[in-house]
Amino acid sequence: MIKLDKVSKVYANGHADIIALNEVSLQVAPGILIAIQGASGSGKSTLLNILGCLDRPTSGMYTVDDADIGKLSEEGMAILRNQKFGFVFQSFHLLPRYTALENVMLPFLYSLSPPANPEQTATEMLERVGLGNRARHLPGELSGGQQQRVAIARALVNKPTIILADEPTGALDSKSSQEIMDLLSELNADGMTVIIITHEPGIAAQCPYMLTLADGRIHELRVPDTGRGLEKVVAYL
Amino acid sequence: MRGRLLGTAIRQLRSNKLATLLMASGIIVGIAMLTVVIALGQGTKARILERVDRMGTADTFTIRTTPWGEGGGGGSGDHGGILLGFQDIVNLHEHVPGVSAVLPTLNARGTVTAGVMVLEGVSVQGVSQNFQQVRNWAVQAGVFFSDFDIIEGARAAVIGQAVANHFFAGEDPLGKSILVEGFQLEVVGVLAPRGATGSGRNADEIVLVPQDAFTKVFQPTGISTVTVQVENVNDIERLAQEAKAYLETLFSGGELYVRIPMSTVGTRQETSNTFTRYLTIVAAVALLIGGIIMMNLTSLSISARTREIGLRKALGARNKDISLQILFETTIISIFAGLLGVVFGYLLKNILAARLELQTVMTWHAPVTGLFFAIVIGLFFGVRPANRAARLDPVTALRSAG
Repeated sequence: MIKLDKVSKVYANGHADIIALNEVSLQVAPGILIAIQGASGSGKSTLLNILGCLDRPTSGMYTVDDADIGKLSEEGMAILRNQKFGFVFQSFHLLPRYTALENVMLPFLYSLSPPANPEQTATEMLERVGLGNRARHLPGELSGGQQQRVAIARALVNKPTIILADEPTGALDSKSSQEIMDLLSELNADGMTVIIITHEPGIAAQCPYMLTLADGRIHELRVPDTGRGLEKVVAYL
Repeated sequence: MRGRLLGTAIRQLRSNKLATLLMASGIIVGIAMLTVVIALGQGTKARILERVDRMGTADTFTIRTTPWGEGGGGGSGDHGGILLGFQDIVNLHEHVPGVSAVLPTLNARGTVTAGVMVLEGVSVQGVSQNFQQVRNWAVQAGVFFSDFDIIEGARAAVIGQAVANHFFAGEDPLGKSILVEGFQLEVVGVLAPRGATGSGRNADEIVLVPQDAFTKVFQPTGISTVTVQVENVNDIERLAQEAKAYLETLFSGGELYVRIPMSTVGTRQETSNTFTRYLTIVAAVALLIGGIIMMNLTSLSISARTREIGLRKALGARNKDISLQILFETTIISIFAGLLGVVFGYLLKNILAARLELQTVMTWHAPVTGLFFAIVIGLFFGVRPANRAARLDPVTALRSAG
């Protein structure tokens, strides 16, 4: 369970402070696939950074599975990122000199208890995203869609509960985009929470839940038409 | 986890070998200079030991009843000085532990004749059995005095090279007779040549006689010079002072005088060694500059890797994981630079030694010291870039262009 309680993020900018997030309150139950959309500057990236423990709120309280992030040290936040979250970025962020397999294994470097056979675990993840035969390839030798799948395998390798995807299809053609969305939907079907930031309505439309941000506030929350699972995402507008 | 971070550091350095070599370059030069300095220092030390060995031996000191005057060498005459009792001297090792041998010597300068030839001002020394050991001076031809010769005060002489050449050029001096102050002695041995002493006197212009024979010729009333050998040369300063203090309690004539050949020569050599001191400064400056070069290039390399560091943090790297990786990088660079610097220093030392005819000695000191300083510099100049990298904000780093 992810829970934001009146979370604000303010950036000092000369005389006038910029309020990127303005008292956002939100609850997301496990196993949800939700899109966060909004115009540029609406605060969606800031929200994702705070959700992923890459950044701290200026005020308000953020809890992940009842753990108060505000009370965690730098090291505690790093461990949480390593164990609970899997990040997927628009520009993939693969290390160019590392093979696909080595890129997938990277999170183990910072794990307090890496698996007994890291290479096998990483290979399994590559197979899961359909790239078992590309393990020894460098990112430069892979297509954009394949690179993003390597990045997803890397996000999955430490068995996180939440996937945070920041414009995961932003750099891909429509066919590859659809493949990535299908893959993320599959992960959600397996029980993982998937949070996707996007400005593409087509992508957002594929998510059962959709949150729209405007000027650092929650503007709209759309829930599934079926009416089931209404209580799973609660937003305070 | 540390081992895996070390592997990551090695991988990073190997991925850009030219940059790594550039980072190491300054330290390589610095360590090479340091190696040369140490080799020169060791060479000077070896030269001191060599000189001391020629004068006497490095592990001995001499105590006399009279001071060493201007230009007074170790063997100059002190005939007529106030004298010590023989038994006190022989038993010195019982009172000063660490003393391994004692050679009481009677000194005089006298006229030596053989046939019609005369040699004046020859150093005549009344010695005991352990002369060869304590003075590190062996007989080259014939024999040294036997125990019997010493006890009986036999009319025998062991002569120096210069004396042998003067009287017996082209013939065998053994068995021939010489007169010392009119007292007839048979030549039983010739000492190995030793050459000029520190004071310019010819050390080979010497005649050794058994102590009792000396007494018959010069009629001294006691011993005036004692050469003492110690077990461990590192204790020599302390033992010399102890021996002097002990003998002064027995000696009625006041102060005794000590000379330690090792220290005398050593001081003279070190003060004159400005070249080595100059090189030491150059080496230190080179190391400092080398460290700064490495620090700046590492900072540059971190700037180029900002996005990567941001990613590593997103994947769970803690600040200390990042800084440890950077510290591993700078330390590996400096170990590599240290090893290469020692090799270059060794080559440079050989060139210098050949061109400038400097004496250098390469011992374990140079590589060990070189490597030690290299690692210290790697750690010292690695801390700043490592901390800078560790403090990078992951959000900003992930969005940067680098």
